Amino acid sequence: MLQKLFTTLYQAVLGNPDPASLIPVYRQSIFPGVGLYTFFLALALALLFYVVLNRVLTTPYFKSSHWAVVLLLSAVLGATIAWQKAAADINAQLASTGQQLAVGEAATLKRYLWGFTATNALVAALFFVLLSFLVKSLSVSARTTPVRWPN
Amino acid sequence: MSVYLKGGLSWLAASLLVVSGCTAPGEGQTEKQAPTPPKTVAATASPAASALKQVQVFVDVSGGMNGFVPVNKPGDAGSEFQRTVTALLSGVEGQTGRGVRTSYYYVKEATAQSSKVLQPASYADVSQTVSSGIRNAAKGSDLTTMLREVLQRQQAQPGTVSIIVSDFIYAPANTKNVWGGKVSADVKDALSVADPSKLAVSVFANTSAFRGRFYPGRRTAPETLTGQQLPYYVWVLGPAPLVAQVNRTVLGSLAGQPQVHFNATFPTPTYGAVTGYQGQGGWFAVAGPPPGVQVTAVSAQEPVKFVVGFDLKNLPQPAQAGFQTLELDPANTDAKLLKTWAATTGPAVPAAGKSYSHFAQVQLSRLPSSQTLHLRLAPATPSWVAAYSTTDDSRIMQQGAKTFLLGSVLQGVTDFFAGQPAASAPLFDAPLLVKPD
Repeated sequence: MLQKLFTTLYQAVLGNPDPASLIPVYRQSIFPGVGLYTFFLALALALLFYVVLNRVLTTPYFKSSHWAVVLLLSAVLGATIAWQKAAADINAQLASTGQQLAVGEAATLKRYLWGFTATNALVAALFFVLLSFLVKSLSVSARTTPVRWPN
Repeated sequence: MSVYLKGGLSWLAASLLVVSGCTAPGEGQTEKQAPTPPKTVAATASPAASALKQVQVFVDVSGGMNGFVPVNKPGDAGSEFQRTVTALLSGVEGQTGRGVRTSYYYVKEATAQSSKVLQPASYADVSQTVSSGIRNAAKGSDLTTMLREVLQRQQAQPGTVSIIVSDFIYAPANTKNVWGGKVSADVKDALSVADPSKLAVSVFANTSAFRGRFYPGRRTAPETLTGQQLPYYVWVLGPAPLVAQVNRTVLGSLAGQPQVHFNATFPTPTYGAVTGYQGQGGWFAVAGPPPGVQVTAVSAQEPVKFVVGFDLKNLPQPAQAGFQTLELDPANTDAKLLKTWAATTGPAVPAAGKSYSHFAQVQLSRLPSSQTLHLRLAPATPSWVAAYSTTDDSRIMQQGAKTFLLGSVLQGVTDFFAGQPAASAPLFDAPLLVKPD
């Protein structure tokens, strides 16, 4: 289910992975793995900002600009996770099948990977925004960051 | 605020460094872990409901065989016959360690004292005879009587495989009965002791130097040969799976020889599409079952090409050599077979195809819906039989390595098995699921 969900999500933006011989790795391992990691990353950052920094501790980091920094951080970490996991899985697959990518294939693979990395940066940011609205009510000093709604 | 932002930005810069520091896949993949063999769907034979319990070996010791077993001087290499049969006997005796009973018999002619042509012997006796010549050679042995008695003994004990070593020259006493159709019918009648659905026969041909008197099947005057090559044969009779097992374990030295297998059945070989090997276009391999490929993009301009690998180690060598006769049933597609090759002769095989011995490249440019293609291999035609057969062996020196009426004898075996499913079945029929993504 999760596999299907994340595959649909990423392929809606990026289209089918290229080269096609690597599609099973993306669908079985990279998409669901990266999607899940990214979700938990965004959740962790949202909890860090709203609960740790603005409830458990009392810090001056409650403004929208601080929230924006964490948003940016989630995008960057989302990109990192995407690239690292995809590169590791693809290398493992290439090693186990002994497949040699042609020059053109290596180029399309790289292009697709950069697209995936960028997409996941957006996905991470999106998750962080959505989760922010879910967990902000747990906060004490950042209940209205970045916007007052829904409180 | 700027302080915090700076802190955030340096984090960001560090993260970006992490990202840019990654190597792209495909670069420097060689130092990665050792390749793991891909998972394959193994078509396993049914568990040995009837395991091999007994092997009985019958060695023809009629006078006509004497030329194959000359007395060797110390240091001689021995004749081809002596080397092969000694190894065969030793291989059979080696099965005793695995709980298989062995028994050995000489094949002689029926006499006034005994109507039986099979005479029990021991491993040591038979091996000694092969090594140093036949004492008290029989006058002749009757092929059909021999087959009949061998099959009777075999049927008495289930799980038995019989191996017959002989020149298989059919020479009944009444020469009026020695014509093609009659010989075939006689052989078929002799085999009819057994149920054709429960019997398989493998015939291996080999030649060896012959020194001594050769008795033509036409019953003309004997000829004395001085080391010319003459054929002899090893027949293996028994239930199909057991015959295949004995062929593999005991008759390995004859694996490359001319051979024909009657009513043999073989397990479907392991097969599957091979990733990253002589492929093209938008597809990826699916393990199955049935194995196949999923096609992401295909058109007349950009056809898809993929390679299917087969592991044919369970098929006899001539069948493997006949792999280029592989046929493709394209179902409702325009799939066609581009080429076939063996792992040893084709382009270097990547790790994904290491478990396969033979490959076939398929091209496809149209795929409206999921389709099941079929790859089939027909049995190899034993074209050697005609070359080994003669209707007149009275001048064997000029004829060369030929056997009197071999074609008719083997025709009799073919006739016996006519109507059995395996008689017309392909060696394997491998379904391949091709579906759009």
